[in-house]
Amino acid sequence: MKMYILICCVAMLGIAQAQTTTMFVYEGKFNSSFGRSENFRQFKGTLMISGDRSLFTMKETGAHLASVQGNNIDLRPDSMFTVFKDVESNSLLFEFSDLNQRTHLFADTLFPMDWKTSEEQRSIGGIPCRKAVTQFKGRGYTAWYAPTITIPDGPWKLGGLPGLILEAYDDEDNWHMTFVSKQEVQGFDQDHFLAAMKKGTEGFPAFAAQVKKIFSRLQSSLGAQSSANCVDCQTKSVIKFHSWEKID
Amino acid sequence: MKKLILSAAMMFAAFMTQAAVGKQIEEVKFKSGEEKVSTVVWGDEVSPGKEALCTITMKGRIDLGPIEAEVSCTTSATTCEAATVSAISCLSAAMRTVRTVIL
Repeated sequence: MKMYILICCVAMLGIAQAQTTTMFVYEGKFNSSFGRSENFRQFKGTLMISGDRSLFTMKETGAHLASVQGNNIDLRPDSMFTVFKDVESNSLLFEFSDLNQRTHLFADTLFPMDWKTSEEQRSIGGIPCRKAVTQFKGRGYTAWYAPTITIPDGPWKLGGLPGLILEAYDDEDNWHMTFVSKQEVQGFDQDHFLAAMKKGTEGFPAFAAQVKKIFSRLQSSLGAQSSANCVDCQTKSVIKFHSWEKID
Repeated sequence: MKKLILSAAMMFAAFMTQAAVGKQIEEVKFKSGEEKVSTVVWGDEVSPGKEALCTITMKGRIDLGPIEAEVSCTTSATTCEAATVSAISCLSAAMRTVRTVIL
């Protein structure tokens, strides 16, 4: 009987630990014009970690600092850079919102980054951190990770370092996330992502194909319209597409 | 009323100054940046003749967060007024078309 109670206690403790979720809160910015002009918005990032699984997402806060005004169609989703990671199954899913603001899930490689670590150190929120740099999908990134927090995770798709990434930014500082606090939370809804993983999710090439399809749709619709209505005028109309991650 | 007349006069003066320069006026100046996806050109190419004195570029954006489409209309005409009107018309039509596609 004593043995049975002991086993039950150990099992319950295990379940309780598995359900413990820590939310790491980040603050930062994102320039949706990616360096071509200033179009910065402030964001709050949350990285919720429960066992081997985590969910990162970014929501807009504060002021919108833009040099671009008017003539804009804003189709940004409420949450951006949303990424679900499962280290145990070596899986990563990310969200993408299309022209109709429908969200789709795609799979990507978990932590493919080839990090170059250095001896450079600094403290973030009182936690000692080390510097690492990498190239990922067409951009250079710097990460400051905490060797004392032995979680190989970080904001967005970044991770795979011997410690949690507490600050990350790209070389042009168009995207920047800095850790500000952490707290224990109830957990997060994993069912949506686990169901997608079980069902089988298309990978990054399918995401790239969908983006190209959207661009093609816009291009053809714009190409079909008539141009200038001025007899003496000569008009050149150009549509350019830009993606945060290099997709070709 | 005086203020209104003064404002209108100042706007007209500023417009005439720009027209006299006869150079490209951009709504937004973009730094040179790496094209991450592709560039597609549609419409007629501009090859300003001797009579084209003013070139106007108007730009619009379709922001999807991590991806963005940028539409620009560049018009050359003998007067800046004609070029501006034509560029605005072109961009308005383009953005209307995009909205139609979305909805």
